[in-house]
Amino acid sequence: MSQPRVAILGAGVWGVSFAFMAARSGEPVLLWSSDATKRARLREQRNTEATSEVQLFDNVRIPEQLSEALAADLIVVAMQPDSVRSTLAGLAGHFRPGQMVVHLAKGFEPSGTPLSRVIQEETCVLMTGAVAGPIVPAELWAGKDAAIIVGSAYQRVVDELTDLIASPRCRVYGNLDITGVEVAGAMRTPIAIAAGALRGQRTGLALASVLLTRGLAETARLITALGGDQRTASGLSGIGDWMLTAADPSDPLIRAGVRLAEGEDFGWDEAASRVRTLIALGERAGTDLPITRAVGSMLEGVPVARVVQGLMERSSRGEIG
Amino acid sequence: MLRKEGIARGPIDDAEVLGELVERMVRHFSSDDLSVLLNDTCFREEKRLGRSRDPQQQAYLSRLRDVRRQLAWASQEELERLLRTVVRGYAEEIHGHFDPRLYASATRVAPSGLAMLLRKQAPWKLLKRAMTGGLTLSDRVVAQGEIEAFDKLVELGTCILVPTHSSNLDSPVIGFALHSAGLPPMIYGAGINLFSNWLLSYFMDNLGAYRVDRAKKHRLYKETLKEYSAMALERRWHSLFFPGGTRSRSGRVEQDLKKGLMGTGLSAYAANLRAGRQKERVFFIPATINYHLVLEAETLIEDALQEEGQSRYIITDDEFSKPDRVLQFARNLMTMSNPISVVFGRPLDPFGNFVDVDGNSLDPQGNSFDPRGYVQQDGYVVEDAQRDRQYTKRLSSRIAEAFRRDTMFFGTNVLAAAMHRRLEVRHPGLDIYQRLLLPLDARRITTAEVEAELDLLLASLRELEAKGDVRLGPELIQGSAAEVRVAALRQFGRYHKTRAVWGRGGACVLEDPRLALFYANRLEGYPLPPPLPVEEFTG
Repeated sequence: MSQPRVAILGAGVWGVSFAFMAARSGEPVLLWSSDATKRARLREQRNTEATSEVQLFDNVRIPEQLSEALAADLIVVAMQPDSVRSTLAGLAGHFRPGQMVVHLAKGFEPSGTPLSRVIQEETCVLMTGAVAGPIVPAELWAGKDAAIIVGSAYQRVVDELTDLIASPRCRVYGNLDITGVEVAGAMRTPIAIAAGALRGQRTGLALASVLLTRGLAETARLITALGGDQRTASGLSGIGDWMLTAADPSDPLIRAGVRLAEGEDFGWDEAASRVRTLIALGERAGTDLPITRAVGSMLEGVPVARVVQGLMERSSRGEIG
Repeated sequence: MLRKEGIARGPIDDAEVLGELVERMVRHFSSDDLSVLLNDTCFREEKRLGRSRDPQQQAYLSRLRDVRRQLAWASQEELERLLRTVVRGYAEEIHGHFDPRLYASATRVAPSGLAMLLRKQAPWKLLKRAMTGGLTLSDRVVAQGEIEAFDKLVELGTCILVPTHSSNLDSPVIGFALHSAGLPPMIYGAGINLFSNWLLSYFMDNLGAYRVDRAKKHRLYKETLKEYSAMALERRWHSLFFPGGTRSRSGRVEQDLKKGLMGTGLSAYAANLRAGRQKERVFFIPATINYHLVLEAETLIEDALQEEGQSRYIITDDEFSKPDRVLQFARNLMTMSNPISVVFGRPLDPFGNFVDVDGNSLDPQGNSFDPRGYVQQDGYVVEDAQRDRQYTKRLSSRIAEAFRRDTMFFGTNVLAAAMHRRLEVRHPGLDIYQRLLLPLDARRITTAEVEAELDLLLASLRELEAKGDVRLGPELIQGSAAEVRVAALRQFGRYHKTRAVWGRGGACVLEDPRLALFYANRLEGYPLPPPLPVEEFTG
């Protein structure tokens, strides 16, 4: 059997879902997990505890050795943002210059560096990218239609991933504005927490709509400040993904926002860290991020009602500019 | 001693070079509509030069008019012939000529100063002056940095030196730095305006300079220039580009670099792989050229302030064109200790990765790897212009990082920055343009306040230097604030028509705030603490 051209590092919900999508066309796929127990279950039951509803196709192979996965031409990093740098640094010698490495994370590493750049900073790989968009894993596994975004500064990465994933069940849109795709994906966290908090406050549908629209403006400003194309915020990696999240009461970020509004412990350090990262990034870029800062205040214990009131009482301004 | 191989490791057959360039351009435009291309060239040049009274330009225009008249009825063969005619003219204009014997004498003459060249002395007089001992540049231009790696890489592939650019003296200075470090000469593109002096032109022609006419902005000329550069690289002629494109008008370290010529390094590497050439590697050597005082600082900052540097792309009437100013500057150089420092940075491959002394590309963890995979698949070079633009963009940002890291600050930079920072905190409501218009009294800062600000800056800069984020001139490494102030004031009094900063009655005065801004701007963008609060010096 020839060496599969695609390997996924990480068998969380997103890693397994991506393996499912990639293997749907019959393409041989490697799915690697650092957890031996998980690897064994994937081989035997074709799923993990968190993805028990899915049955992975036979062309998804679970290698025992990481080096086997790293030999693939296209590597998909499906890990938590804060572990990507250290993991890749330890594996740097296994990468080749012609490889493509994309990630599925909707967030920056704590330093504020986008993961596509972290990959370049730790390995010899330059053709990097990100996969984003409004995906509901359970819908995907059930064979429902979906669309995703492949963001990369390299057209070849977009083309390869499109070739891999595009099917009558899944439309793939390419976007060469990787900065925009990564910022829009990262902004999902504060916007989703805010949406949950408003839901918990029972503020009504109108304010939820205002949140998404102003979140769009805020994201567009940050994208522009970081050298990207503000139109990306209006795409599937931005507003498209947030609309899905805001409408889904079971989304973990929405639930965490609701908990905040109800005065309970937020209890999600990683999400809180992502918000702080964005606030710091905005400050460095000289961009005002009122919604993200408001979520930061909520996470620091300021009551949601007071934060919302603070946002509403700001002086009026023009909508555009 | 001159390296035996010179630029081309042998005599250059000018006719063969020109012939190949013309044929490459015909191939380059093989899928273009040549009548449209040539018509566009003629139209743009007619528009630019239609009113010129220069006989040479009129003759050039007349040739183009002749071409244009023939376009309407020309067959494909005739169009190719017309293309060859036009390109041949550009090729002859661009192509430099290198004479190793002249290089040897020119590098001996160089220490006597460009000023003498500009005074139009006969070459034999210059040679005589140089041979009799005269003045030397060896303690005027200090070459440092990755010289050993550079020296090895010139044997392993083709090197492209990419220095910062703040003065027309940069080319001769770097030429001398290369010579004194035992490195081979390099060809470089010099603005055609610099060839207007016949004697300077004679030396530049023979020192490997080729002509770049920045006023010709049409595609045919620009592509010919790029192809010439790519062809030179494929012939392993080590080359020098100024990636900033033009001299830094503001005095800031260049960060927005031109990618067109830089991309020819990658093109040459791919072409070498395709042709299976030996020593196919291409290496970029970032370098910074650092002056205590910059010859043309007054004109450059004026230009920058007029329209943030966009007002005149080509300056023809600056200090470089005034022999008395150049002479004064040259005299000043001869009396200063280490006035110019050239730092050769860590070599990079065309993709922006560091390269070791053996020419191996290194990943960020220091593992060596073969970079061919960036452009090859299954052993064949894959054409992908979009991919290559991204690679060059990355290279450009790595060179910009090197510029920041290897820039050397001198006392003139730090004192000017300290003065502007004091002005900024004393007049918080004013922008930079308003501060430049403050009356002289308002530009007077007590010595104690200046030295306190200098102390703050020196502490931060020394921290950055310790981390390898910048370089400091010898006087900044250990000198006290008072010593730095006194030395910088002395420097500012040496050459410029007005002093940027001057000491008077227990205070420092920003005598020429614009000129001082040029020197202060060098520090812009480095992580420095905010200025000391004004309250510390009032009441």
